[in-house]
Amino acid sequence: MRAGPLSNLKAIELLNSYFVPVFTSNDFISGPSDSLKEEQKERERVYRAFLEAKLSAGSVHVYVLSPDAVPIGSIHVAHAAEKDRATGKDQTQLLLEKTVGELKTVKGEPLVTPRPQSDPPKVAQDALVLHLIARKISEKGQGSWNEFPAEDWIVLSAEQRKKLLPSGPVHIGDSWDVGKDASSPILTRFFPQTECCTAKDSELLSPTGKYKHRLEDQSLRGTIVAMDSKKTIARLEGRSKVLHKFYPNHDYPPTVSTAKIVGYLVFDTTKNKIESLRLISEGGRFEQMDLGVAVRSVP
Amino acid sequence: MIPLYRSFQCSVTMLILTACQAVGDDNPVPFADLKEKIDHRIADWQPTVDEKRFDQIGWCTSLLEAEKLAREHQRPIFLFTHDGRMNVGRC
Repeated sequence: MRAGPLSNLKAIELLNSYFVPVFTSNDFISGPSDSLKEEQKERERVYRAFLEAKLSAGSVHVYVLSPDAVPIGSIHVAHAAEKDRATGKDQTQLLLEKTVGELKTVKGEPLVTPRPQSDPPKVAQDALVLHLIARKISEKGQGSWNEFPAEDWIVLSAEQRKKLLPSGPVHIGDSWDVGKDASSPILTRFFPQTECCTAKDSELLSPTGKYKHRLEDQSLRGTIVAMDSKKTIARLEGRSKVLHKFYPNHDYPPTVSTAKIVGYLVFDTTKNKIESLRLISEGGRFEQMDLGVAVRSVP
Repeated sequence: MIPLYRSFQCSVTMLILTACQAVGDDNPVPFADLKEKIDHRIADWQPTVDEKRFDQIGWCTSLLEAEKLAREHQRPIFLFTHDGRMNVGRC
């Protein structure tokens, strides 16, 4: 959907000019805690209202409602990108145009300013935020689950962050193994887009859950390559092997993602503060496909 | 006056230029070259504008907020429900 109708420039223009667009994840609600129950209740009401109106409804679904939140039209996600033979337009665009025509909605500016939908989480000042990109290289955007990369925001607490660093004084040439408390939360994400049916990391990354997710093999080792009185630079090298079922609860064996890893770490020796962390995969593989993973600290 | 970040970047650049290969290091690639390769690849693998087109849509953050705006501005609501996290491509 994201790479199809929601990347269609005409549909984007219609959504911004005539609609109030919103997307929701079925097992995740953001916002203030006091409104969570109310939001959930409203989601359920909308679902039931479409069924009562004899319109299609489902968990992964497009719905259009009137300004008073009354059902107007809906499309199962499997049909949302289907092209109409006569016009060449996808079914989502057609539903948007039909709605605007019938309601005679007045064109206007977007009611919410468009902004990046993947942004860094708000964290404690002493935490380290990392942004990870995992993309299938060889597919070049072709086919489902290949159209865009997966992203993750990884937050290392102050305690985990410390475990990225060597303990005690160091000299050029010194090496150390990065603590697994710090490396595991990063390397367990070295897998690309798959069929993820949950927004909860506790399910997605659980070895006993539906995805049988496991960081089966990992290492990350630092070597000091330069230092002065304040800054120290270390080269990082390692490897990862992640097992993950493509579809939840599927009979097929888990997919295998492997990568050699290189990177670097810049830290302030006087404050034990990480200024910059960068990692990339080399020769990464996701099953038979080439996998590219990139990690950077933010800011 | 040099801004703090630039000052940090300058000092790191100087350090990189003086970076030695580690003792006993069998990696023949100088660190400056390795760093350039890493930085280049990270930039290269970031999502493109085309891959992020749906960021061009002015999304509400909740259904309740959308309904409030819809009533106020007499606009229909477009709702897409899904599993996972579409915003980060884990869906």
